[in-house]
Amino acid sequence: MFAIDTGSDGVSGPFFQWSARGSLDGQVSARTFYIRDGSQKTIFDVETKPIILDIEGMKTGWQKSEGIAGVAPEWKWNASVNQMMPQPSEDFKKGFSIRVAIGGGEAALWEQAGAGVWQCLTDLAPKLAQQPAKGMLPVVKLVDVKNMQFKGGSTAAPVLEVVKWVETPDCLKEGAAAGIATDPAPAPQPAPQPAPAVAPAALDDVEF
Amino acid sequence: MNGFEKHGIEHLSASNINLWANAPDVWVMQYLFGKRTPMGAAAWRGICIEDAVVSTLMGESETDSIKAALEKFDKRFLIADEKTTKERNVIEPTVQLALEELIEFGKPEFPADSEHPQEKISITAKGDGWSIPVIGYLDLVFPQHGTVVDLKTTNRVPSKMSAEHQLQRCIYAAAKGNMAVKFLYVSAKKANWLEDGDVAETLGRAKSQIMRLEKFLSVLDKDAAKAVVPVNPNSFYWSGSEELRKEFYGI
Repeated sequence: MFAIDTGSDGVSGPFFQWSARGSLDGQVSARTFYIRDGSQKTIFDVETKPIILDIEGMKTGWQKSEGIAGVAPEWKWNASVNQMMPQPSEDFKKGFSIRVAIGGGEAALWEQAGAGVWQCLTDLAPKLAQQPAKGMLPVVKLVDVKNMQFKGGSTAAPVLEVVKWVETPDCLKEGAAAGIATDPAPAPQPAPQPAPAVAPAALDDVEF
Repeated sequence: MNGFEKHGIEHLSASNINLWANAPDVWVMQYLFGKRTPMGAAAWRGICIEDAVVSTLMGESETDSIKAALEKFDKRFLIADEKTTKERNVIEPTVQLALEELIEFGKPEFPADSEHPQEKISITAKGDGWSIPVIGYLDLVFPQHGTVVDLKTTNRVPSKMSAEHQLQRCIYAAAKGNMAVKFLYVSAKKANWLEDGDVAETLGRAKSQIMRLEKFLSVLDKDAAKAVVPVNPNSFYWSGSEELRKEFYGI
């Protein structure tokens, strides 16, 4: 037996997506998240059904899309999320790839580029950096949609908020069998750090 | 009750006075309403570099200090963009260059009986019916060399200190009268030592600004101050905080 390296990163649908303007086929309205499975698109309400983001397996990079249905976009991934490579060319947009747990023991892949979703991720980043421990993942929900204006147009960015931190559910674990539902346990909140004491230094009281 | 007492302001600092003079709209939001503009990548890069320099001067290995500095930076900017990557990339060479300049000074001295890593200094500004401490924290104190060093990391090393940095230096110099106060500017490629600004002259100008601040505070409550202070949306002080400005001032 031998393996063929197809170049795939081993991830597959269903796909989780944000739609700023809605889909042309009318299945998805504007400013909503949806799940795409084959040709089927189902609106996913992240406001009432929070999702878990696999921030430990997240990738960022640049995406070039020809905008042709059925043609996969080209991705150039960064070596790490801590470093962004220079833009390969003007055709490329910043984007990311992250697995999300969507409930019922199921996971989907959120792989998307564009100003709206990138803004969503970077706005959330300071909260994600507060990960209480390795293996703990954020549960996020949609709290707002923000309009973004540019010289050449506009878009809408989802605003996500961390609800709580939970242990990695089985559906986001490496090699997990699909369809195994695990209710993640709520994480203990990190204890607040004591404020540093001010130095009780003997001060020279110079006047001016 | 003077203007500072009226608003519960117990002390000033060089950055506080500079902000009042350069961006009173940001000052009102920050010091009267307690809303701070977030620290950007460049400022955080400076903190990480300073940590690594101090750690190495105190005896840690340079490699470990730089590694810790990069980890600290990454923790803050979990998801990089071009701007944060640019700042991250200068951490290592800037630390190395700063150490080349500072290594001859030996170990800096820090307050032994305090959790605060830096020595606090204070001088007092006095006016008609008011006085207020102007405080600061010293980056590196080398008593054996009679020198205080403030480390400024930058992407462009200046040949002359800005008026804002001159005020900071002069406050330190007034407080540490018998020591030289030098600012070391370091980029990834270049370092330069500067000690510009006449102490008496600079503090005299600062006092004029403090007097105006005290008067401003004495005649206005904080809501009135917010309502009348000119708002400059083009000021670089609002860079990265545009939404905060719109939320606070509606401009």
